[in-house]
Order: sequence, then C-alpha cells, then structure tokens
Amino acid sequence: MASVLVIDDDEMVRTMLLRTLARGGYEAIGACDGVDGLARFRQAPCDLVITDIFMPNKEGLATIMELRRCFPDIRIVAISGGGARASLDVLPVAEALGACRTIRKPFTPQEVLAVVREVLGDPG
Amino acid sequence: MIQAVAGHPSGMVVADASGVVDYVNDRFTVLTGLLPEDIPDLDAFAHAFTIAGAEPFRGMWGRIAGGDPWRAEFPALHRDGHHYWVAVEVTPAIGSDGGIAAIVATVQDVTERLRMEEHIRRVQKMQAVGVLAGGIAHDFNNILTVILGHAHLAHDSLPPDSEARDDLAQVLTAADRAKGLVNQLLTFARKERVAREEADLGALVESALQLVAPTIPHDVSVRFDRGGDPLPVLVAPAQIQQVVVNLCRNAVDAIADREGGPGNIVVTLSQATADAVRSVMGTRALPPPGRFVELCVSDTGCGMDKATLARIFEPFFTTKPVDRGTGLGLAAVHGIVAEHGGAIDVVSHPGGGSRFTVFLPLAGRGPTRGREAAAGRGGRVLVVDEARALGGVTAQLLRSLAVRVVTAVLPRRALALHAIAPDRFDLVVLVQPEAGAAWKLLTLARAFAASSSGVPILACAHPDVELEGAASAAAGIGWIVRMPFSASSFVALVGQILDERASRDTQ
Repeated sequence: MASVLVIDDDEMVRTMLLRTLARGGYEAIGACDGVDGLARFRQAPCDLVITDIFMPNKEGLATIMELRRCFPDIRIVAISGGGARASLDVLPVAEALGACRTIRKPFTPQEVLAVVREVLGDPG
Repeated sequence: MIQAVAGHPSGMVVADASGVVDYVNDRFTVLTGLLPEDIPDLDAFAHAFTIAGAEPFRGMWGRIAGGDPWRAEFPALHRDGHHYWVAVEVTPAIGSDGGIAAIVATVQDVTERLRMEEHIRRVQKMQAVGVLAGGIAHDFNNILTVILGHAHLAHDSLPPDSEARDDLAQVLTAADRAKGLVNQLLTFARKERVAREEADLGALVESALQLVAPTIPHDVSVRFDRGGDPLPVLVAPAQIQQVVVNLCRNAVDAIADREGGPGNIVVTLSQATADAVRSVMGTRALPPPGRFVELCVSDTGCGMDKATLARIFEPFFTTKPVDRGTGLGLAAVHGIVAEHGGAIDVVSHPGGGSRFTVFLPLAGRGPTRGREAAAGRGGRVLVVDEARALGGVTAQLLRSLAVRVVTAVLPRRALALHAIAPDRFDLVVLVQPEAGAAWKLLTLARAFAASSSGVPILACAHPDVELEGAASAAAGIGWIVRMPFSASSFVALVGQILDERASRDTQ
C-alpha cells in the first residue's frame, strides 16, 4: 500500500486529509510542522509528502528544500491557502523549488485524491 | 498693532473690550466675503459667516471674560455661496490694569488641511481593513477546506436516494459560494506584486468590455471612446480588466435599480490633467502633467447618496440584495488601483447616475523621464549581485539617476541590511546572470518581500531563466529585465518604479 505523509499545522485540515487518503486506499500519517515532518520522514520514508506552506517552527518552503536536498527523488505536493499577514500565494514558488504538484485551499477530497493518484498511481 | 494685523496671513478682527469692532483686515474680507460694515460687533461677527449661526460661538464669552483664548473649527459659508471650514481663535489682550484692553479674532481657512486628514484617515482605514481581510481569508480557507472535505466525504458515502445526501449537496453549494467570496477578499487584500507588462490601456478596456458584453441587458447601451493616441500603462492586464468588468457590472446594477427606461454606460479614456489627479490624490502627489491616464465609467443609473459614497470601497458594504451583491467588487477595484499607484474618484447623486474615474500612471517612455523622476527624490536602491556579474555596471547606471546605491555580494548580508530598516530602500534589484537559477531569484525575492511588504523588486535575469507568470509574482518580483539590457530602458524602468512608489507613498 502506497504511503503518504501529511504535514499541516491545522489539526482539522490534517484530519480531513488523513481521512480522505485512508478512504482512497492510502496509508497516511500526519505531522504538525516541518520539523516533525522531517523527523517522521527520516524515521519511516514514505512515497509522497503533502505539505502546507505557512506553519510554525519550519515553514513549507524550507521543508521542501530540505527534503529535496536530503532525498532528491522525493515526491512532494504543496498545499496553501495564503499567508495570514500578506496573503502571499507561494504555491508557484513551491513548485519552482521542487513540489511536483500544488493544491490551493480550499480543496475537495476528490481534488486531493486525483492529484495523489496522478503522482503515485493507484494505491495498490 | 494695526499694521501687524493688516498684513497678517490670517483673517483678523480687532474689537474693544465690549466687543465693538474697531478693525477688520483685508484678508478677512477675502476669506469670508464680508466687509467691515457687516460686522459692527463680535455678536454680528459670530452670526455672520458660520452655517450654524452663533451656535459654535457658545462659550466664547465665558472664556475670554476669564482672560483665556477661545478656539473652534466649524463649517462656514462664504458670501459668494461656497462652503469651507474655518479655524477661529478669539484672544483677549490684557491691558496694564489687568483688564481686557482689546479682543483679537483670527480666522483661517482649514478646508484643505481637514480634507487631507480625512483622506489619510480613509487610506489608513482601507489598509487596516485590507490586513484584516487578508487574515480572515487565510483562516476561512482552512475552515472551508474542512467543511468542504467532510461534507464531500459524507455525501459520497451515502446512497444516491438518501435525503441526507441532498442536504449535504446544499452544504457543498454554499461552501462553494463561500470559496468564491474568499477569492475576492484575497484580491482586495493582496499585497504582493503581480508581474506587470506594458500594454495599451485602450486595448485592455476593449477586451474587458467584450468579456462583460454578454451580461449586459438589451436595453442598456455601452459606448466606448478610447481617445486618440495609445495610452501605454505598466499593469497586470488581468487585474485592470477586472477593474473595468467590475465597474461595468456595477453600472448595470445601478441602471436596473433605477425605475423606468433604458440606460447608458459610457467608458472613456484620456490623459488626466494635473489638477484632476491632484484633486483626487492630494496636493502632495504633485504629478507632472500628462503622467496619468484617466479611465472613466459613467452610467445613467440610480446614483448614490453621500453616506453610501463614503463606504462603497469597504469590503462587504453593498446596497444590493443578498443574492446579487457580495460587497467585494468595488473593494477589489480599490485594491487593484491602489496597488498600481493610481487613485479612484467617484461623483454621484441620487437619481443622477454615477461617474467612476480611475487614474493610472502612464508607462515611462524614455530615459529622460526616468532620470527626472528619480533625481529629485533621492531614492535608495539595494543591488544584490552574488555573481559580481553586473554589479558595477548596474550601480553606475543607477547612480546616473542620482539615487543612492548600496551593492551587496552576499544575499545574506543584503537581507540583513534590509531587515535592519525595511523602509530604507525604495527598490531592490536582484542580479542573477546564471541560467537555471530561477529558484535562487525566487527564494531571495520572497525573503525580501516577506520582510517588507510592498518593496518593489526588480530581477535582472538570464534570458533562459523561466520567471514569467505566477511564480515570480508569488515571490514578489514585480519587474524582470533580461540580460544584457540596454542602458536607456533600464534607466527608464528604474525611474518609473521609484516614481510610482513615491506617488503611492503620498496617497
């Protein structure tokens, strides 16, 4: 079964993503920020990382850069709803930094699963 | 004393201790339109030129009887019929015996000062609302993600004939509508620069009118007068089209709200006169003539009263029924125009239609204009040139604009310089001659943009580096120059960016 690591500081969004992925047939685990995400990935590498951008501790772009540096073949999907202060849309920057797909919040479970299937293929 | 009063820049009236007027200077007559014989005493003075009669002067006698000066500001009516605001100060002059020897009243026209204060208050309010809206939009996106997500999951797990499935479909429809609203909020609140290009405003308006044409009722005619010459503007084309579309939709709704008969919408383009720009942007903007273009959308709709006019650009303010208006269309227009260094003016009367006038800076046409624009301002430019490829040339070109140039080789040092005083620099120039180094430019640009929202960022990049489109905009890059570039076009562009920023700062 293909595995997905979900990094998002918002617990409600994380839960929704984990449920969506589980119903889609993927094994999904959650992390609450970039530091937690990197630690979990090092502990148990997975097939795909879905990461939010604006997070405390280690934000998404830095997380993507470090993941790419340590694991060059890693597949990453970036999600964001804009920054709280300046409503920055950094998803295109995330893509430029190595995210293979981006999803803009708010999104639907179908949209998430479509992107994950596109990147990973069927859960197997 | 009389000599000093006669040449005083304020209007002055001198009375004796009982209030009988002894002297009135010429300035007072010019200011109020009143002759000395119109104000034989201070009671007549109090009644003579205020709109509310002697009411604002209540309390004056008590103060001056106690030996203290009395001050007030209130609306006044000139003899020729025009309204203005005055600041009046009435001071008792104490004689050697300790009693009141004379009473001196000074009158100043403070209309312009109050207008500027009101303008600044409004701008600050809109900025505050923008920050608030951006924050709300971010949180709403997270909440909507959860609502949409769980509603979808529940909806899809129910059998097709389930009533609860229909109920959830309604939740999903509502959540979709909320999603659209958040997008409009983000447009209003957006602070990052969207990449701009030089375009003819006439062509942009034309294409926007084509977009909006299918939604215009048959009994509403739209006329477009694009003027003679092309009007080049440096803009985000899609945003300017949105301005035109939103203004036209507003005009259509205003016509629909007026009872009876067909309506007209007239869209015109012309070069703005300096007076017109100054009256909207404030005297501090002092735009040279011919530097702004005027886009005017007028309608024969229901018009607006003063109370509505004062609030139309606030997010969520709408006079339309719940199902027709979001209250975000004009807020988005305001955000876009302000972000382009422009301004917007509205003239409207109930039953008399409305006229929205958008002022946008014209794009620079050559090095002379750029140099002139920057020379008097003393702007500061930070050049980040890691590869030392063009730093010297770039700096030399910039210094020819009479602006101060700080060059940094290490991006980290440049960021530190910027972080110490984010307002210190008027422009950041990132030089990156390597092909395939887009991410370096993007990351660095984003770091600058994040530490100071609104600092213009100009990227000088290798011709093969893919920077166009949303990625550079998201990173905060407003302008891209391909290397090698011509001296004149570079000088013109920098001058224009500095000019635009200075004009926005004065709003």
